[in-house]
Amino acid sequence: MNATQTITLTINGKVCEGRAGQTILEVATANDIYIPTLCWMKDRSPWGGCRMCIVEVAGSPKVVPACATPAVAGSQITTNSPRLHNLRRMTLELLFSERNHICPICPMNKGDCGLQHQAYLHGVDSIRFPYLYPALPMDVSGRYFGLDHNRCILCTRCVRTCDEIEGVHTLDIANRGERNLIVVDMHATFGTSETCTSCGACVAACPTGALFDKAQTYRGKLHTCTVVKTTCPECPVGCGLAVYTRENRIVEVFGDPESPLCAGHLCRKGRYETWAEPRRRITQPMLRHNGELKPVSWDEALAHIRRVRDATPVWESVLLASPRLTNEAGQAIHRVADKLDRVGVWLAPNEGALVEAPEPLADVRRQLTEADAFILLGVQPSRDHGLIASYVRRGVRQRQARLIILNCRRSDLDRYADIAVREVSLERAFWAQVAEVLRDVQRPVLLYGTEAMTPIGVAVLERLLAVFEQKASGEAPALIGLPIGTNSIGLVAAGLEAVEDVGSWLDAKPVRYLHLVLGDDHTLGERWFEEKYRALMLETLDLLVVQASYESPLTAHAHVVLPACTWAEKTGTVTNFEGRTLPLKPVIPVRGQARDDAAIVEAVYA
Amino acid sequence: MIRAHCLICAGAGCISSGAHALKEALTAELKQRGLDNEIRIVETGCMGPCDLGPVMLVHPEGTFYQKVTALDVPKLVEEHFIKGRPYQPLLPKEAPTGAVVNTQRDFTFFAKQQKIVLENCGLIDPENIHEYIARDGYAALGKVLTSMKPEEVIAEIKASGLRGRGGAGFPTGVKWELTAKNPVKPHYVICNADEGDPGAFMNRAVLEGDPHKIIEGMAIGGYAMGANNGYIYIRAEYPLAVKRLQIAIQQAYELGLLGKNLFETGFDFDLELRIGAGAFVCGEETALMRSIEGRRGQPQPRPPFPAQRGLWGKPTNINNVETWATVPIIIRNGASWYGQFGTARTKGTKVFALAGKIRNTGLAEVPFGTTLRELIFDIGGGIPNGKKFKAVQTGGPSGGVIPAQYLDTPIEYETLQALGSIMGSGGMVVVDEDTCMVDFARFFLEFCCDESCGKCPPCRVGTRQLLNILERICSGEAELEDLDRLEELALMVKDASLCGLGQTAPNPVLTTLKYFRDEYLAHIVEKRCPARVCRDLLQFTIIEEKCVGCSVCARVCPVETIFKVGGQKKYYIVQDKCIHCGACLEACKFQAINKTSEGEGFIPPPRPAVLELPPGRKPTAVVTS
Repeated sequence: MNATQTITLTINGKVCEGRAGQTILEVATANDIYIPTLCWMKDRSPWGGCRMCIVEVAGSPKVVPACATPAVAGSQITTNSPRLHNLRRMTLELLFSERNHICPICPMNKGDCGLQHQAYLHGVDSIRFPYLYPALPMDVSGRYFGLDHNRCILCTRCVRTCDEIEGVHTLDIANRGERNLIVVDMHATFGTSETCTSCGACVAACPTGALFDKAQTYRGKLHTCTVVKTTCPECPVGCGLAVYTRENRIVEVFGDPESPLCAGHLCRKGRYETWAEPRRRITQPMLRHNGELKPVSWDEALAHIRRVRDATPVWESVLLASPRLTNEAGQAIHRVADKLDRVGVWLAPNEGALVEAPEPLADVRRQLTEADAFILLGVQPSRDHGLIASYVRRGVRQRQARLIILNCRRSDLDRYADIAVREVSLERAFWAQVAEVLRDVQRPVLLYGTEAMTPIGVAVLERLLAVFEQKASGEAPALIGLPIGTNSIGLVAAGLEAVEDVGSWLDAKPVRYLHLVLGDDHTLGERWFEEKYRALMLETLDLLVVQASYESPLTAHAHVVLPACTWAEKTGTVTNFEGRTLPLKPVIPVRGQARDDAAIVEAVYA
Repeated sequence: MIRAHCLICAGAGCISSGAHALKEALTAELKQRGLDNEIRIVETGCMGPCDLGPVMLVHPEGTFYQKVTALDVPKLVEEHFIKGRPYQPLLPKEAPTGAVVNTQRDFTFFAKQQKIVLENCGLIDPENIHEYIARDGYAALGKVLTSMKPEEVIAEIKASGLRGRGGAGFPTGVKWELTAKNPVKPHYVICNADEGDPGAFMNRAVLEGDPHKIIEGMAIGGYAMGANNGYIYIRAEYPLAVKRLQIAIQQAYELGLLGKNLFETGFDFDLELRIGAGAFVCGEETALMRSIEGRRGQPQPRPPFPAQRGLWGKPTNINNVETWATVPIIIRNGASWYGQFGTARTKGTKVFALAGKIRNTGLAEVPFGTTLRELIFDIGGGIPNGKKFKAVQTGGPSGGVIPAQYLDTPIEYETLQALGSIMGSGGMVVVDEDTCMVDFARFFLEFCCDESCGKCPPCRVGTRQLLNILERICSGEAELEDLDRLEELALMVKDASLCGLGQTAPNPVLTTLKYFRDEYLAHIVEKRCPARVCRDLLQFTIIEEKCVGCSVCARVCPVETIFKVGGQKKYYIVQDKCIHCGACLEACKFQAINKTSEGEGFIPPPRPAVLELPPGRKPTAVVTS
């Protein structure tokens, strides 16, 4: 069948054009004909279970689901008739009679409930059947979201999303008939599940209030929110976020469906950790006075820094930045670099080689969605790049792609792997095994991370490439490097020195003035204290300036604390692992006296 | 020198009534009398009349013995094998006349049947491939592989007029052609042996009695459709069938009738068993395929049909056990031979499982066009205990009921459908005047509601709401508008459900509403169950003249509502506490308990002035507020 072949059919008397292979629903939608749906969802396999999209096809006595039925050239389709309206209406009545769908006390009562919407459309003003309402349990053991079976209509949108998008298949249905129940693993809970990644895609897919985000529950209607599209600050993948705010507070974060790589899907970090975790915000400059940090004005803080800097030789002044800063902040730091001895960006071990002038990547989405083999070398996508992990799982589970994991830590991906080795040996037999797994592979993708940049990692990489060279057929692997820092690539490109080992970098010369530009990075404070003797080193400084959004052990040691904007308040750009420049847009107003990182740097070194 | 063959039915029915004990006793007896070299015992598949089991057929005379127990063996051997005359007490009797039947061919139950699919059932040892081969087994496969092109095989099946025996009656040859012509490779063939209808066991009989016929049929189908792999999806509740199939497949592999290079023609065919986990809905073909794939057994919308996208997404042909078993016979004898049986629209024969209120419970194979009356009254022997025929339900739990006025309808897919029922896989449940049709509909709807997979709301919730209405009617709580709601919802569930389970589940309701509406009205308006079945609508009273005062009823009454009449040897039921359980009725040996359903017009017998506690009962504490 030719996929581009045009077919013509009649829907509700209107002549419609479609492509061969499209479903009736797709042709109708493309021709502006509305067919009600409930269990159907874009980019998920059709289910045909909810019976809302049923249509009549001339010549067939039975109604068919438009979402799952291929459109046939020349067929005559009716999408609204008294019979169809009656069937849909009664189906809705049955759903309302089955479980507790009392809108006023439902967390989904915010204008985007699929069930409520269809009930309005079909004029369901009364339920003629007795309410069954079995008493069903709730699962609120998950950290970010809960599941209330009483509001579930068993449309399986969550099941299919979990299986086909995140690729973990944590959810499924148990039991038969009216005893149907969504289950987590084998009757586990979200809190105890071993497979759930807490990505929250199931919640985003749920048309009713059965799956709900805890932080968002009863916070009002989503369609009264302001939506801002920005970029996820959590990792270098750079997924698009659609942030919903009301009265200057974030209400909900979803993936941006138009973002090329994530297409609406996010990982746990992007969907929840960007905004849901309880950090203590710094909203004004603070100065240490008699051993205690006291709020001061910006002028006082800046004047104090200037006083100490004037007394400190340039060669003993150092600035170290977080890899989460924007390109603009990086450029601002680079502009004032002559006023300091060294300016660096704090990378992960071995990350430097990965981020120094990398080739821009093209076509990554196609490579990831078509790959028939994934080789992971020294990278932890499940931990660091959740979206990439979902691509790997989808490839392995839906397309039977091969998966080889070399020199990576243990992760959930191991169970899908053909080969998973913590420390690769260079034995011939091992590489023969690798070659065997890759024998028939045509479109391989090699994902490598920081651990691939160690001497051993490089040796393994060379050996791998040799395997591909010896292969009879198939493309050369698409090489995709995945740094750890959100904007490591952009900041190094802006001229900041790549610092992998902070200890020796600082110890190389005596330092008396240290400016730490953390921005909204909340992990760096802890990393600092994991380094040897760093806590002691802080005591030897004349001045420690910590520029940060959140309180951390570092701010507790600082002489001066400068309040910085978070990702949600910033304007600027970041450069993702593909080399694309992605915009950060302000979602909410700046809190307190916080300022943008670039502006602070400029003010300090003016 | 073998002079006689003793065929003991080893179908599941006869085994449960003691066929194995019979065989052991017979073996021991023959050995003791030194006859073990002259008389051979063979365990066969089902012979059909399961109600008469354990049954035994002795050749060469063809004497048919019924209800043979191990205790009968010494006498039987003495009479039949030593003295050479049939052992009279174990011969079956013709149902209406009571005439003793000497041989199998004289027995109306067998004489009126046309055994084609069941030709070997009850005749050969199903665990011995050589017995099957001796009955021309695998000759059809040989013929197909060595002298026919795949298209010719399909043409032959098309010409025979064979239609799918799974229920819908789709022409088998046309279905095969759809799969055969699909350019996507590989192709698969599947045998649907997930026979789940309550009271239906025709597929089990073939699986247990003639497993090779299915294997041969599938291999022929595989050749015709270009499939090298086949699956038999069989339910786990048929352990004997599973065992015999496993033996049969192994034997076929050993003789090279399955596996690589069959008949040296280069055609490979592998066959695998898949055991179902007990879901009724897995008999639906798309759910069945998902189950084979190891996924949750839930139906998928069609189209795409299995011939377009089936197992593992590849073109697949699914046929029922009976369909596959018919294939080798058609190939062996030719399409025109097969065409002589049946009617113009529907060729061949169909096996029916007779169950319910019928004398000869069991399996019967008749040509299409046989009337319901011939099947139920001639072969089935009619209704036992002098009761009146009320209706017959065809096609399993989701079939409709057909009342007495349509008994002369010839059995065909179309005729049954016109009456609101279905052919289904061939179940026939006969009901007599003692059956309440509302309760009957409720029973089968409960089954479908329980077995609904839950994928679509019309079936998942609709059947439950239907069942609730029926339960209200049965308990006398319904109002007239419930009847309209029942009908509207039943039609909606039929129209809107995704798969055949939901689309047919309301059939018992709709057909009983059509043919027995007066019974519904009696329940709703008069609060009366005409058949005296629905417990909440019954009244139990004691007939004074017949009561001898034995006190049994009072002692079995679980709610202690039967009292002694003061000063008399009589008992009396106080109505308000009676739960209509019927324990007293069962216990009374003097037919002194009267069961009635008189509705709101019921007036209990006058309450005696003094009621005494029956002997042995302690006074119950009176609860005062």
